[in-house]
Amino acid sequence: MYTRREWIIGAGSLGIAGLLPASAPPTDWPQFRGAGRTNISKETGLARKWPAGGLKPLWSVPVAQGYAAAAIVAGRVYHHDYDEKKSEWCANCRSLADGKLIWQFREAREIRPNHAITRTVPSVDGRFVFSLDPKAVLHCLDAKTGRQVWRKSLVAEYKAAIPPWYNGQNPLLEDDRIIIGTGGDAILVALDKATGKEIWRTPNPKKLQMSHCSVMPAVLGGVRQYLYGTLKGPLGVGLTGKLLWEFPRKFNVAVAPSPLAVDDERVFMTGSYDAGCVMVRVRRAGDAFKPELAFDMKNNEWNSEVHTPIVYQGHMFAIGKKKRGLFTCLSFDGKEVWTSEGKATFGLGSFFMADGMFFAMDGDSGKLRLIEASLTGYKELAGAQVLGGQEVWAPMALSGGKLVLRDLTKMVCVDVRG
Amino acid sequence: MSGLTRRALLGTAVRGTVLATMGGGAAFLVQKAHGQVVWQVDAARCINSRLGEAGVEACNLCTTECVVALSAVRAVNEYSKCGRCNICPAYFNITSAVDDLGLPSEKLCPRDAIERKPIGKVDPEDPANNFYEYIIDEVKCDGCGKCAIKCKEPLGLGSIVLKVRYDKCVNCNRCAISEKCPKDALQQLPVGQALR
Repeated sequence: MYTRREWIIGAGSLGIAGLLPASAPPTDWPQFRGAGRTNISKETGLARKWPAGGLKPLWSVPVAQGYAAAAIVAGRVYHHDYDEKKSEWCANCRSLADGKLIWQFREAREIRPNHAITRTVPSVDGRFVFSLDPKAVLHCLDAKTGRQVWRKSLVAEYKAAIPPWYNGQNPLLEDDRIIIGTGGDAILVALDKATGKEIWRTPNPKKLQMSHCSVMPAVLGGVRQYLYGTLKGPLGVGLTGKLLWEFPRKFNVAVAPSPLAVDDERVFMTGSYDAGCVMVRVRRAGDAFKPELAFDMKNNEWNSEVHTPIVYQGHMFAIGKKKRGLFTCLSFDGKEVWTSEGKATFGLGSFFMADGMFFAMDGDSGKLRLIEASLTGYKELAGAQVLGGQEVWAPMALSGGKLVLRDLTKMVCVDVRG
Repeated sequence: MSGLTRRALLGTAVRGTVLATMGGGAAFLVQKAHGQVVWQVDAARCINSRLGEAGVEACNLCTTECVVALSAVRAVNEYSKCGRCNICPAYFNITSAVDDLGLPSEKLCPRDAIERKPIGKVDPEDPANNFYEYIIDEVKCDGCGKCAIKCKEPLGLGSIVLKVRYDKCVNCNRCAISEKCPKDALQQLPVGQALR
């Protein structure tokens, strides 16, 4: 699911680093896809080979069935959970060192399990925790204590529709605000972190519906903006809430991967239910943006069901759905440069990048594989059975060499330092 | 979730139907017993039931080749496996436009043979996450397999498979479907094994 943007880190950087939360040290993983939402960790010194006996968990804790993954800030792990006996949704804070619970926030929520119960990642800036719960209520919690600072129901405030399979969106952290998609009365809104007060909203005359996409920071034509995707295609919103462009393209039933700027001009979006993928070239002319089609795999030649690709060295890397999930290197014109076919399959597992390597989870078995980040082919460096069961689809989070990951029943932490 | 499990919800309503169906099938089998063999679809071989991939067209040979009018093969939803999804890829044409409720606007079955019924009370604030029961009308179904091939992970759970219905099958010595089936999925089984 995640992604991208080597160009933020290196060449061609266009100031997107300014979009990162100022308070996020490089080794924290403060939100979905990490700081900057690149899904690339800046950590180094990680092991390139793993012990023959596998990766021993530093700790393991039981969790309710789901895919709710961790954010890690200042040695604390934040994640969502659910108490099935009491029908209560939870936000948890744990110690990264030993997994012990530090605080827990609870609120009553009736959830009908459908592809499990929990999903999404909290967004944490060190002071606040922002959690969008399954029924689209946004909670701001004190990061130290778990006390609720404010809450806002997107259903009540914006007439948002709770999506099938409940909310899958993760709030985007900015310096003084968070950005979320609402549907209903707005497309996107910016909310003040401290108060929840609306700073701006993007009008929604077409009544676009909230999707499972998360808002992605981007720089297109040298202009910082926010990308969002709905069943009607990708769009870009300026930093003050103005709709800059939208590209009509039909997606089916639900769209979970987030739209992704692969360079200064092109936006990639993929989805499930045979929707394939599309690349849009967004040309800037003065203050206007004109999106046009670069390519469209509407016959589902390639797609990712739930995870957003990573951009690295001018290519996209992701697990494609076909053939039981092949880890794939895609060129920006949609051609498969290489895949893991014949060597490994990954189901709908997640992946991220760190220290020149991809960590990729086999979503059907819980086996974690370490792959060389290369344009020349699939090269597996190491593998270990760290999780088990089925639907091991949750994202992963890395901080200080400690990798936090989960399957349907447990969250574990393993040490991946060299 | 407060006592409202899928199984509990569906169990009572469906158990009777399933038992009745099984009972009917068993009765026909008993009539055919005396060491006879009967034809059945091996789900592990059937393109629609097991091997289908996204983008692959459903095989409809069970419909077109059977000597029985409308075919003796039916799509059967194995309720214990069904996810009771709000958006069932076997019920909806998932590539059709989405309506205001977020539901695909077209059905998949060309004979409208699947009924979608809500289970329990629908939450008006959250209609998209209710459970639904999918009931196949075997009077309408002709075993074309379009639903079976779509009910596959990760979108579906593989609960819909094709089965020979013994109250319709005339038990040909050489099943016309088996003659054409590219995967040799029509198998002759002893009655006792078919019943299991």
